[in-house]
Amino acid sequence: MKLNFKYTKNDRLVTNSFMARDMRNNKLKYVWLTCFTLILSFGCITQMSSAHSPKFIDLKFYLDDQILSIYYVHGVSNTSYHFIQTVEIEFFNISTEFFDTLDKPIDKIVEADVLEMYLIELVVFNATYTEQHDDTADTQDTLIVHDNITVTDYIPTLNVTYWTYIRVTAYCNLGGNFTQNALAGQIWYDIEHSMIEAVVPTLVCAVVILTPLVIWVIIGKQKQKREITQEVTQ
Amino acid sequence: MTLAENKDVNPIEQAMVTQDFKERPKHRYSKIHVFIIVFMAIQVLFLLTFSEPLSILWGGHPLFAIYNDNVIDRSARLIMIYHSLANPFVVANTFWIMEYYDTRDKFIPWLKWTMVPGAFFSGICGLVFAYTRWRFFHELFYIGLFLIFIGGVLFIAAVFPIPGKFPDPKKATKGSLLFGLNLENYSLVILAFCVLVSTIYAALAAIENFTGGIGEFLSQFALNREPDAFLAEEVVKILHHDWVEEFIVSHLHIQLALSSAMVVMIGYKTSGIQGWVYSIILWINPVGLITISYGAWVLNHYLIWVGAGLLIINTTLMAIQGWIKTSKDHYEALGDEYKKLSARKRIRGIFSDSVKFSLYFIYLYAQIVVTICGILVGLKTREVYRLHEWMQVEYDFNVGHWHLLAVLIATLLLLSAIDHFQRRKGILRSVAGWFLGIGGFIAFSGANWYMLRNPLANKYIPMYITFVGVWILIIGFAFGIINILISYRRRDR
Repeated sequence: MKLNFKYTKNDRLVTNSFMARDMRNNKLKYVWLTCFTLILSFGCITQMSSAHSPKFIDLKFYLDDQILSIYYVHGVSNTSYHFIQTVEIEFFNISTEFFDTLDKPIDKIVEADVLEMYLIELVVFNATYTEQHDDTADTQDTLIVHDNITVTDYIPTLNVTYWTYIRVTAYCNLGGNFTQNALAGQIWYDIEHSMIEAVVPTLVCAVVILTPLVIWVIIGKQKQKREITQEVTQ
Repeated sequence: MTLAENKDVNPIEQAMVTQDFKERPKHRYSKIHVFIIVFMAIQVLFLLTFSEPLSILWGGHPLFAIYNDNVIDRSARLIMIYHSLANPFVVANTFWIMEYYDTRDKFIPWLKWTMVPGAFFSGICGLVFAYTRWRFFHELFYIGLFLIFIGGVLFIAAVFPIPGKFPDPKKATKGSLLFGLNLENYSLVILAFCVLVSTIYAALAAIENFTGGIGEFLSQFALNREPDAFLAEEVVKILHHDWVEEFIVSHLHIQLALSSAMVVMIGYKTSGIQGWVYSIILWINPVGLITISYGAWVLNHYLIWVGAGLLIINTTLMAIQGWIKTSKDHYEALGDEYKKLSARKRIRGIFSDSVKFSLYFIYLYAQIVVTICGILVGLKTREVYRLHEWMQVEYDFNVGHWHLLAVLIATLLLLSAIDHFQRRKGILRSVAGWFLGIGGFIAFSGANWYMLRNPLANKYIPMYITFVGVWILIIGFAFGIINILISYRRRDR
């Protein structure tokens, strides 16, 4: 069989006009999308972040050596331009009132239990820096800075004892600060969790997801049964 | 006697009769795949100018002096950088899913129109903002995110299964149907839903952090935070998180896990898994997805591990099936004789295709270096990793864990892409496959050694081993991308 396709001049014109319309529509889509984007972009107003505060401080006081070990989480790109400039270190005694009001074992005390009202200031001193330690072989060190502060270097008479409350505030030279507290000889622990906590939510998740499927299986089986009965009766 | 068997018939006509006519898909995504791969490769090339494994070669400093903390805080810059990379990756993942799973035709143009511009807007503008802090680009970056989010909503509508009607039950993979309901698409809907919820989490946290907008409307959520960009790993040790910190930690946890789940779902199709094993996988998959997501939303590690454990079962089954298929494909000419082959020969068949071998090997190895190690560290967090002396190690683990997973799923996606574009075995394909497999093995092992080290141990040995692995991976990526481009051009012609 021979197939003949012949385009007339009119056909071609019609095709061309359709193509032109398609292209015009496509162009219009682009124009609309661009306009929509531009309008929305000028309309969105967000506040610009400007702080450079250290993000976290981890403290531990070694009673035997009278050393305060501090880890600062403060990521910087240029360690001599952007660094933790001043660290304020405060030592407090906790008033006996606190222990009187305590209604739980002493080893169960958490950070939130030690309130400002029970603190008696003992001593305050500052440590100052002109740059952040940098180790070019490992740029991680510009993220976390470690410092050991021997308290007797600052205040020779100071003897930090068990249960002394320590507060450290680190100030960034470009602005922002972060404060962290610790108890000499104590660790702040996260709340303890257990595997049991996962059982009920897992079951709930499984039930939520599988219920539609199980219902569908029941419906499907009934449908199948009905179809078989119909076939048998026919 | 059929027309094809009739020897009197002209051989040309006979060939025409016996020819298989495959239905051409109405929509093709090759161009989108290639464009996003090239775009992301360019982004990564730029990131390599300051990445530690490479910068060590030229003195440990970034190649360009464009890092000014006074312009933008380091954490804020990093957040923008990895979002500019993560968004195109999620879009790429979505189109790979659409390549293998049924999507309603009428939604496809809309998905293209929202997700592709979204990927490029967020990818380009996020990166520009990260270094210039030009506000306009930040808003364009938001538009990109918004377009991708809309794309996600449309994706749910596009894949939503209707029993017996959509997807076409006649074309369904064996084991994927449950009385006409396609379980693959059911999983896809759950997956997309979880991704969208997780993005809403991040959006709410960002709004409250930078504008205080949530607190203005709902006073019980007001935090009056200083607008400060922070990375999840920086605040993870804070004992009492506010909800913004919790949401950000949750977002980082789950978004990457769900991206991995997307890559695993691509693996279900490439591995050719089917039958009752596939049925089991498809029953477990949505439960695993929702459990891991819910665990991250409420920050319950145990729940995350249960979800991850369920997905481990699926990935392991899929990867083993992938290896079996690779071996069978190698001995395709033998037909049923394959069953008579010795175990040694069958195993040799697995190594016959470097791309497929590496692909399924990394799927399996990921379970050890990411999931199981993550669970082990999680179990020891309170008693060991949270101790003051372990501070640096825990931070390194928190950073390394998601870096590793991100590189791993990128490697998996590239291997799948090489296999998709270049079906014929050739030198370039083979070299790319081996480099990616071996590089991945060395890099991921070294990184795990580095992350799980004792705080007093020398960290430089595992660090340099990781670097060597990364160098090999980079060569593999280069070969892989060249391979894809050549195959795409050849196919285009």
